[in-house]
Amino acid sequence: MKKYILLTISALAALTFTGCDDFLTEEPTTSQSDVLTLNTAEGIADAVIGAYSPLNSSAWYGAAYILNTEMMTSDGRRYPGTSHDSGRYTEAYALNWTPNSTYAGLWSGAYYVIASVNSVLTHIDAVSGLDEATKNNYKAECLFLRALSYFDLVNVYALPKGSASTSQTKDLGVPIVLTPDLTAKPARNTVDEVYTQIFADLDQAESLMDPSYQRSGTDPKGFASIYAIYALHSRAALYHQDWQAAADYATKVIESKKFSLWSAKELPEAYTQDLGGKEVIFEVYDSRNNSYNPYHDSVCNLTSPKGEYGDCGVSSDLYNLYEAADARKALIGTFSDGAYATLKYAGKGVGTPDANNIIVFRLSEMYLNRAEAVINGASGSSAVSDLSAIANARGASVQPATLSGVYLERRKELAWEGHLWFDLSRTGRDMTRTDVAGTAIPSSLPASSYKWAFPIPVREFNVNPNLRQNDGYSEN
Amino acid sequence: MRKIQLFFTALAVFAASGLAFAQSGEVTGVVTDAGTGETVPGASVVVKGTLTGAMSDANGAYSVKVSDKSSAVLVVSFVGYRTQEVQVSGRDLVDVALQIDATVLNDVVVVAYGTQKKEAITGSVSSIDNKGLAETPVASVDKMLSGKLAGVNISMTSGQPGAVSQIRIRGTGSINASTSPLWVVDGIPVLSGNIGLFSNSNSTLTSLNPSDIESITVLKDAAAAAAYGSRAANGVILVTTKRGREGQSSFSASAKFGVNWLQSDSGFRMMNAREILSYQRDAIFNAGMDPDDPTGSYYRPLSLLEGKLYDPIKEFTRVGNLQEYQLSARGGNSRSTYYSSLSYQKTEGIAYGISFQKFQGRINATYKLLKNLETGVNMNLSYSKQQDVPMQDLYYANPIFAGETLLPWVPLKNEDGSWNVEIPSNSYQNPRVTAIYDKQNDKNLANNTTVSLTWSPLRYLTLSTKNSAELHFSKGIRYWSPYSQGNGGQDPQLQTTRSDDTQLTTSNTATFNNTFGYHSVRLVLGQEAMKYKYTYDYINAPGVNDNIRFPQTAPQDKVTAKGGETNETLLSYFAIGDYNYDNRYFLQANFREDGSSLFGEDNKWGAFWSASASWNLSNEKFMRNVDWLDLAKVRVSYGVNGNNGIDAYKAYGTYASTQYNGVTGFLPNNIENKKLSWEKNKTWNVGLDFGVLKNRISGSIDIYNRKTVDMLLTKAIPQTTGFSSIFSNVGSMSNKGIEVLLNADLISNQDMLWTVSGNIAFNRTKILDLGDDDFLGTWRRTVVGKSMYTYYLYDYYGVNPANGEALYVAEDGSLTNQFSKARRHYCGSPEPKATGGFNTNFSWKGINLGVYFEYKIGGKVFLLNEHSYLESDGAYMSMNQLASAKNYWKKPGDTGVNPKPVADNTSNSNNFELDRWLENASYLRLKDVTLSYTLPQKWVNKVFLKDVKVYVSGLNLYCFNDVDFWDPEQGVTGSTAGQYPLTKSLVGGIEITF
Repeated sequence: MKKYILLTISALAALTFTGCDDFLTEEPTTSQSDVLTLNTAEGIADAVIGAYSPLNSSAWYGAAYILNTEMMTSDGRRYPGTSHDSGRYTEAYALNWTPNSTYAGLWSGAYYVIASVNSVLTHIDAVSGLDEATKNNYKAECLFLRALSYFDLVNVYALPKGSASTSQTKDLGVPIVLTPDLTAKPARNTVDEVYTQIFADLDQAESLMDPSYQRSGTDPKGFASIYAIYALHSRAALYHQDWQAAADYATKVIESKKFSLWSAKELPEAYTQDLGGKEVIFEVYDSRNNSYNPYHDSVCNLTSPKGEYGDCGVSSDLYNLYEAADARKALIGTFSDGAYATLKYAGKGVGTPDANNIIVFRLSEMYLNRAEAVINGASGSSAVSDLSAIANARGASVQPATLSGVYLERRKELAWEGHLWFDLSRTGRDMTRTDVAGTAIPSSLPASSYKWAFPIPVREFNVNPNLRQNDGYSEN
Repeated sequence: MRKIQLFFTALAVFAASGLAFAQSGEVTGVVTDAGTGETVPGASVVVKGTLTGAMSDANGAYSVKVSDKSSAVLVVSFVGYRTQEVQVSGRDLVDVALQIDATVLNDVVVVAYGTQKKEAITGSVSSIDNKGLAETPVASVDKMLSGKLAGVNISMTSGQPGAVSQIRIRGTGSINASTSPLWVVDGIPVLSGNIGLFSNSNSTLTSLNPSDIESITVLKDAAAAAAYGSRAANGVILVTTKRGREGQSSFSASAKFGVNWLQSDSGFRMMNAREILSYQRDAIFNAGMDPDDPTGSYYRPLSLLEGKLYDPIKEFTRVGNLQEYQLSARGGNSRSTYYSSLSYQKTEGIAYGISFQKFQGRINATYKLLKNLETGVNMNLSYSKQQDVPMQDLYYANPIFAGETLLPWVPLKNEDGSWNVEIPSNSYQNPRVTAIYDKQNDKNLANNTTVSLTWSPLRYLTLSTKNSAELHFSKGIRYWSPYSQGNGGQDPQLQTTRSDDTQLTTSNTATFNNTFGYHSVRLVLGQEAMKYKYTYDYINAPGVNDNIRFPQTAPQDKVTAKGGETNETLLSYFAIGDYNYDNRYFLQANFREDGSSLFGEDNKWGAFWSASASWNLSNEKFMRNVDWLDLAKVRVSYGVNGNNGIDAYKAYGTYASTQYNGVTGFLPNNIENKKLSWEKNKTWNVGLDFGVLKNRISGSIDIYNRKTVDMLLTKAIPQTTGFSSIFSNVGSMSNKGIEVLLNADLISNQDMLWTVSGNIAFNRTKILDLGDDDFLGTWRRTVVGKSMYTYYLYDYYGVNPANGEALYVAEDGSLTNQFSKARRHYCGSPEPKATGGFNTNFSWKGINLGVYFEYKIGGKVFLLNEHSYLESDGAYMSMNQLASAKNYWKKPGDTGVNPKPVADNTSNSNNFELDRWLENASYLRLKDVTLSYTLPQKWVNKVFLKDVKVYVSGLNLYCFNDVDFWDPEQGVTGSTAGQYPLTKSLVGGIEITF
């Protein structure tokens, strides 16, 4: 009897031990291993597309990048106590940032994109099954996304070359990370070094990308192209006061004849088109089907009179800048209580605005970049004709070819597209506003203030002792 | 065992009667069980002060001679019952009803993979039986445990019926892995936690009917729990359901009805209209504005008080109700036994739109195929529906939060009496409208079936196999109606989701049990395997047709769908060995080897073990003459347990799909860690059990040190890497504590039983090591050298008596009115210094009164979420404020008050991270009062019933506390947002057995 029992037990044990390694192996089901992703042609292709995705996040172009910067200037206006006040974007409007409450989403979002493209760039050369031309186009897309990420990082968390800030940390940019390293605790590079990296990435991208390359998607302008690379180069050069490059790259876009200015008649509809219009060079294609769609916190819901919140209104300072005949005046509407609202993000559908593309680069900026560069000494074009091109297309009188003229046209043309804050900062001008909500809201920010650079998020200091906070803010 | 005792008793009685002084009269009677009324054979009846005695026969009858009937006292005793002394008082017939004694040491307790006599236990174990559980108006068993077991701390983040509770046995032992105990029902580990899809919180344990439970055992230390190896680190809760019994069948039916309501016992309330108007007018003046200016930002004329005013909390909440009906049957014969039950329960919560309904049935049956071969099946089925409104966050539609924030003059109703949704200050929402039009519900079908086969081929050997399938099918629907949103309405939106949880378990054991001479040995060898699978589908359909609420009526380019699957496996081998010498020395050892799919390929297998011993001094020869001491037992144990409570696939480096611009791409979403492995708990326990004065006073003391090592930690890393955190085995922490349990029988005689008992547990959680870091987190930190969840907040000093501004303490200790200069400081944690409960039970002739208190001493709650809005010093002019905020600075010299309110206050005096929102969380809660009456047998027998009991029971009737909020219970982290507060309940019920 005993013998049988022992036999039974050992047989059972033998059965259960068999295949126990298989039994204990459960592979992820809804995700794919990084080995598979980075070492196959399909995986690399998917990883390149994936890197665009976070641009749509509410922490970046999906909302906060535009709204944080506009609300800190005289373009933005909160209307406290009204039906379109939900308490959002109060810190921005009050210029009241702390390392805890700072605009933290861009830091994590931009470095996430940087890490994603760094992984692709590190592995792509070893991948078989991709032809050289495809590899080059993929690399160019990655380099463009990296340059764009560093450009936004360095302007938000650091001060541009032309800043008049008296901050002690004026030269500090952001850490440059070019290869995947999970243990790195990098210190901040200088602003110059970051711009050098941006220009290096853009030069390389320009040389690698086939000029006819266009990735297919719902909206072709939602992906990088050679013109997007030129446009970013033009703006980055302008910000870093490399006037000739700013003008030359603007010229490359303008003379490509791929883009043309919207007419005064087209303008009111231009911003709510589903697919990038004729003036658009690169935009973030927004849709509820995007993984990073910001939903309730989208730029439409925060700005449109039809939006759910409508915290981010327009000031009469901006409205009053436009002449009556200026087509751009019609891009400012009103909330039900009469408060001004921008209509640049009024939504692509009807009813509740659920999505709106966010234009990152468009043609009129190229004219303005070139005009400003020329006024600052660049050659090869005429500031008068560039400023006239814009004014004529919009039905406005032409501004003089002076710095103040180009600044004013730039403000009117690019209002609510995330420019004014950086334009003031990089040209060392004060921010002043007259139409403000209550005495507690600062009506100006001197050009010398430390506040032109956002504080770096406090969580980074907790994990990276090599980092230094911007002057004026504490590290905790 | 019982036979041996019977034999000894018989021998003693025989010997005694031979020596007796045969004289005077004879007393006869029947010994019965006071609870069931059944006769008790074999009970010992001894005349006090003599050696004269007798034993009750098969019918419970006895006959004993006494020398003097007027003064004689009978001492009646039987194993498992309280010894009772009865005055003969001249009677010839003395019937004795014995009370079951739950505390005596000879009880059998359910332990890991078997049962053990309490006497033989070497580890730290707490148990309770089902007495009183059935009357408590709760939806799940976890709610009944709070304060009842020393060292078992139950916290709740929601008072909603069916919600999950947070159970911590001996403190919080992990930072990122599970901190909840393993639940084992009838020998099979089961799923626990939140199974809610769209509902606020839906506990898996609601599928278990509290009335079906026979007993609950909590295994607290390594020795007790080690048999469950990799899942035992946070303790194990063993639930045993009722089984059939050989003998006459009995049926019982019960019904209960009750109400529940919202009430704060600390004086917390919102301002009334007059108070908030006066507050806001002051705030407007203080901001240099005029409240009587109709064109100003804030027009708050006194005439607002003449309009229609509302009490929003009152409008948004109600007195809820509950009802429950049950039928059960129990019986068996020599070959088979059965227990079955069927129940229906419905609770309507204190907020409109909240209800919980459940149908549930159980069958536990056994059948002897052969003399030594028995098969059994335990099957539990339940179907529940939880209907919700948005809560547990600060939603505009949250009836509690909206009730707190809406100003009294905001019109909640239209002229025609219907509910008004056009409320700009509440984002055009009204919780009453939401409750009518929107849907948010979960339906859950759960089946848990275990089939077992037990074969005893030899007298000392039992082979047993248990095979179980636990299934949960859930379906969630959320619907946003066009009518629940004002300001032009909204597109209707439908979200649906379905999920399946399947857990298959096989548990196979061989148990050798033998006694030779003074030696008893038990050896269990076992093997277990578990496979768990979870799948879900989710569809989001914005723009559906309000009349046909299915995804196909929505614009198809807007419909999105998602799905997912998670798999997990566990394979285990274990051995348990017990040795007992003469009921004086006990030794136990456990060993278990677990392999888990959750960990890295290099570290899938882990070994866990424990060793323990106890010494029962009271069974030593030299203690026999110590009359007053009935029990003195010393226990000591040490062991290593594991914790695998993490999400699946954490060891893999992965990319997840992402959608952009109509194309699918991949983004990195997890960092690979091949070395990822178990978190381990190393626990020492030293304990003492004692009983004195014939066990009328008994209790136990346990001292432990539980150290968690190789802690699974989500370690923050610089975001410049592209990631925010990495998951790895670093760090350690400890939980040290003392637990004391005391029971006393104040009165114990035939008619009356009065007992009191109490427990207290002191636990200290301390973080020992966090790898490279000194702390994790920002404002609620895990800090080396301090407790979990240590608050690190801005140092709010109070008000400047000169001008009413908020003051903060700066880094150098000076005072400043600049929030940006305020320092942060460590200011306590939510961990209580002591927890426990005490109760008293009084029964007299069928009347039973149980009063039960629960308490927590020390610890803080951090009421940041609501209070920074509701004590905003003017920052939120569209929101009502706490009544306590009336106490603000009004004139120079005022101190100890809130800062003066200023409309649009931007001073940050209401910042979320101020220590201003900390409050002492200590409380004493009247948890449970139950008064029941069992009708006398002679009445009920006339109508052919066996037993009739009626009762009323109150749950959480009063809570002594000073927290300026609904209830001090704010979960283990000390903070909640938009909480469904703990409510009060009162129920009445009847139970009939026939």
